[in-house]
Amino acid sequence: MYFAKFAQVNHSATNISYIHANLVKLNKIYALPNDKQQQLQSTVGSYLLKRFLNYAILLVVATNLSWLLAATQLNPRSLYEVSNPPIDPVSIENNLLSRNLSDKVPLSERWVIWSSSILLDWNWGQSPRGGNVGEEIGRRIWVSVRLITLGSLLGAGLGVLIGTWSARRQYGLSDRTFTFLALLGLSIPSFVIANLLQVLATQINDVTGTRFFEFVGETGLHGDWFGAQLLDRVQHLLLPTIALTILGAAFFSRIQRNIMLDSLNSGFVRTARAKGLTRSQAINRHALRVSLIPTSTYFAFSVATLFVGAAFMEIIFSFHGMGEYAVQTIQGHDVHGAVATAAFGGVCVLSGALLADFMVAWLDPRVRSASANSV
Amino acid sequence: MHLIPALKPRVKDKLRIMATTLLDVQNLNVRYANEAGSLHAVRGVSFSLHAGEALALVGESGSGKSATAMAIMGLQPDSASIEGSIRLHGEQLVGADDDALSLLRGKSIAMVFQDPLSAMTPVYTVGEQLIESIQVHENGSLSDAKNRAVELLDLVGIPEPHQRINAYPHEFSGGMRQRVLIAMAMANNPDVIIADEPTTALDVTIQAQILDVLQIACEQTNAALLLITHDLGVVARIADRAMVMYAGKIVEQGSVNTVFYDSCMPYTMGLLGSLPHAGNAGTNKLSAIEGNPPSLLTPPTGCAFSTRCPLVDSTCLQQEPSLIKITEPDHWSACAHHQIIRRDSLTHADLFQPKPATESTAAKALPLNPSGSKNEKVLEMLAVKKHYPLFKGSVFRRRVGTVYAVDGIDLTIYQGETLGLVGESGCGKSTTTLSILDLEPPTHGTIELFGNDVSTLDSKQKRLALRRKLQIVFQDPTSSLDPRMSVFDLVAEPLGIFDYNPEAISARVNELLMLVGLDDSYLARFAQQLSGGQSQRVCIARALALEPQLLILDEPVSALDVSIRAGIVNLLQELKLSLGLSYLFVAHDLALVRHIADRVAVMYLGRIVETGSVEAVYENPAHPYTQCLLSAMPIADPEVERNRVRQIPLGELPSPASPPKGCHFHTRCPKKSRLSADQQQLCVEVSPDLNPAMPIQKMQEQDMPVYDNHSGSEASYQNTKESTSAHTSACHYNYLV
Repeated sequence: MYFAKFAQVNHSATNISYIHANLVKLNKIYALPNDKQQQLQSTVGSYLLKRFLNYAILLVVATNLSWLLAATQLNPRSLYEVSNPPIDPVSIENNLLSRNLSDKVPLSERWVIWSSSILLDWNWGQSPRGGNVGEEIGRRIWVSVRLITLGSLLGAGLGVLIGTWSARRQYGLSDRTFTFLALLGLSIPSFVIANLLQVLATQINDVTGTRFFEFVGETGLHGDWFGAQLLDRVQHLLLPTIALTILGAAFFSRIQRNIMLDSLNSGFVRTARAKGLTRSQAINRHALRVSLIPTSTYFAFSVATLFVGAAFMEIIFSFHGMGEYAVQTIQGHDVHGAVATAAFGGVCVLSGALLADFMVAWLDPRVRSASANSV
Repeated sequence: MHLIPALKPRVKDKLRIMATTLLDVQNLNVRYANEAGSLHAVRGVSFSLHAGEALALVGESGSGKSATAMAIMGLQPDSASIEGSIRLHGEQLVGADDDALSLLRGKSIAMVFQDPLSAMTPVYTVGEQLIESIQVHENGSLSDAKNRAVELLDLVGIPEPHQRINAYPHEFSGGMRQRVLIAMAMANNPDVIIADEPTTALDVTIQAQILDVLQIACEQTNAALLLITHDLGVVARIADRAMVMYAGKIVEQGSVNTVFYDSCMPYTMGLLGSLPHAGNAGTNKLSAIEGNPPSLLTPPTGCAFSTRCPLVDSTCLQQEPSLIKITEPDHWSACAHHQIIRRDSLTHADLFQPKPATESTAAKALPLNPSGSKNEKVLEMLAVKKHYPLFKGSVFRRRVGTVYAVDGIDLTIYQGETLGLVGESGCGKSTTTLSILDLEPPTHGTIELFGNDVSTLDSKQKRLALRRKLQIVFQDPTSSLDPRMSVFDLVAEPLGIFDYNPEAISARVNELLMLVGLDDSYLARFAQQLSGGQSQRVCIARALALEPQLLILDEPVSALDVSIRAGIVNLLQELKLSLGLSYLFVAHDLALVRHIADRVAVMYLGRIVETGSVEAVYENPAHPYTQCLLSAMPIADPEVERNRVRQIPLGELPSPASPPKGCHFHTRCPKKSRLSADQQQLCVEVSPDLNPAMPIQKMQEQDMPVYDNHSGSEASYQNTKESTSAHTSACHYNYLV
């Protein structure tokens, strides 16, 4: 069930709101007795513990399956066999053996070595060309964090603003304009947007005769005055952040607009206005607050999946992060690297799910008590 | 549970001074722009609301009553355009901007909405929302506002308001939420409270409580009430004056007594006559208004009611009659024939004389079912229990409890008989019908259909053979018809399953449509092209397709408009007579059950608490719950309503997952407080069985001990089993009145 749930996330996250609605429904049917406040305190802890346990099992299964896939489908031997001058078969075999990559060793034996080294030493193995997979990932995670944090936050924030604005002016000129722009942003592949931005930046640089926009790598040449290093990093981050913001804003503006439209027509907004709140007050205090619940779950998911999902951005802007690594390991027949990346991706998706749950529980009192009661 | 003191019957000062006009509406027109064109929802409505009065605006859905209310509040959708004049304290509201209106909303004019479940913001506590409505208009401190909020919650009958103020809306039941919404409306002592169908979404017992609260609110704040409703019983109960709206216009207006007793507008008369009441119970037909209200996309040329009016003549078609003053002081009517009606003192019985039963056509269309004797049981349920496990956890599911949806009931239906099953929502009525339709053995007990125990159905063929004798008609006709199928396909579908040949199907579908009063022009239509009443007729035709013997009717008319209901009820009665059907009629409308049923069973928290013939149960209700239901039922007669002493159950229905020990009803029983401590002990500890409910006089005649009514359960169970049609009640103190 969980696999199905996550598999759909990227295409349509509607099942989040479906699950959400179900939780709400459940709670409506069996309203809890008054003494549930105390129950709630104790059950939230055990609920989280169960969730974690559940996720851990899921991860172990998923990681082993991806190892099985990688170990049977990738062929690290081919890397050595095509080299020029040829390497003699014995040393190839030795190389592979030393890295637990030899296809001459039975699968079960390789699995025992692979899994026990993870379990005992937290060692995720070596790539065919040498180099520890764990260390590589440890370095790349932070590259990805630096790349996506700002862009996704800005994208979601801007998207919520645009979506709310559009919903309030449904079918008006600004709504139509934003709708058009959002659909444009969604339909242009991310690498096209990234390349277009680079072209544009180059022209601006040429016209102004400066090197204001930097778009290769994380750092470049910079002076040694105070703050120069930071400025350099910001300059390099500028273009990828703009690209991510455009993508995020396009996506979230659509989601926020649709959810907001539901909220605007709901009974509680009418009640709020009947109390004496102006339309704007009613929207800001009531409709917006309620509409943020589903939007934030989408956000939690999208940020987590961006860690491995921003491959194009990383490649185009030469950020050596997790997305690029995922592509490289598979291309480079790097069994252990690919498996570790898959495991990391799993962790991201599950943390996204957990984060989404936290967000909902934090924002929605109906789910708070329902999860204490029935999850 | 907190107890709301039952209000004394409201004795109104007949010469009430209504000098101050608070709200004055003149020639109000509301138009909605939509794809199909401009919908003229309100067409020149004028009225005024005076200080301290309760004015009811009555009408069916689409009559423009809610549109009127929304226009007054300035909360109409953007697509609406409003013309005319609405003055509050002389100040013009039409054309005022949102900022100006928001100073008045909640302060001078407050509103209570229909659906309490969606009317509160789910993410704020009820306290926060109540405090917000206070602070919008007052610059007081937070603690003052909070104290006031607690006070208000107490006033509307929320128990333990200090704690409950921190609860979220979802932790409140519908009735409780409606109380909170009334508290919000009261918060700033408004001059006018508009209540738009405030009790339509609630059970009859909760409705009675909420109407009390609404009256308290008006009395406390001294506000005038504009009550919008379709329920004439509610109007009779609460209003001083009434306005009847039809097709966007007010067609009759006057004091409640004039409108109910001296109506001279055929529409009002038809509405009043179409209600089931003690007088037309039994086999009499209801006087039904034929046809449907007109569409307001094209303005009617003559009287909008002319297509359905029995008095129609050429003058009605020439021009729309305007509202004319009939008598002093305040009776207005919009009918060209009001003089004739008054001269001949016509009543609804004269106008809407039920046509002689169309038995002939029905009988021709279908042969009678294989005639069964009256004593043949079509359904027998013995000690049936249906329990559902309540699970917790999505990963490691474990059972945390049981929902005792149906908890040991006996029901018998004889050939040709209608059994009414009544009770509040959540009492297990639907579970009962579903467990009959399941054709599966229940958790406990036996279900026998037409003499076959369902637990012995070991083959698909046997099951199918039984299935065709048992059909259901659902509450919401539009959602139970597949929108992608034509009427022909819908009615033909069950026939196809049982391998009728195409010619036979076609003939049978025509026959069935005729039977339910639709001609063959409907064959090609789709569900969205049918009105509610027509859809329900199609549902009934579909249910009858396989010549069933037992029809389960699950609230068959409660989703329909008042003027449409009578026609469907008449049809059902006709069909029962001509086809020899048996009905299990599930409803919460007690008046309707009295009209249509032969016997009635009252259900409470999964158990039958009282059963017997309709006359016995309605004339001499023995169980306190039945007494409460009957007393909560609004009656469309202002004099009766004013002089009624109500007995309303305390609080709300407990969860079926944790029913109270002993008698399920003891937590809400108004009778219990009149018992001694020892007597009460029995209610709390021992669950009563169904025992003969004999009126006290008879008991005394026979010199029987009055309180000794809880003999060994086995023995008394045997007794009731032998006389299923006897009047029995499950109260320890049946004979104590």
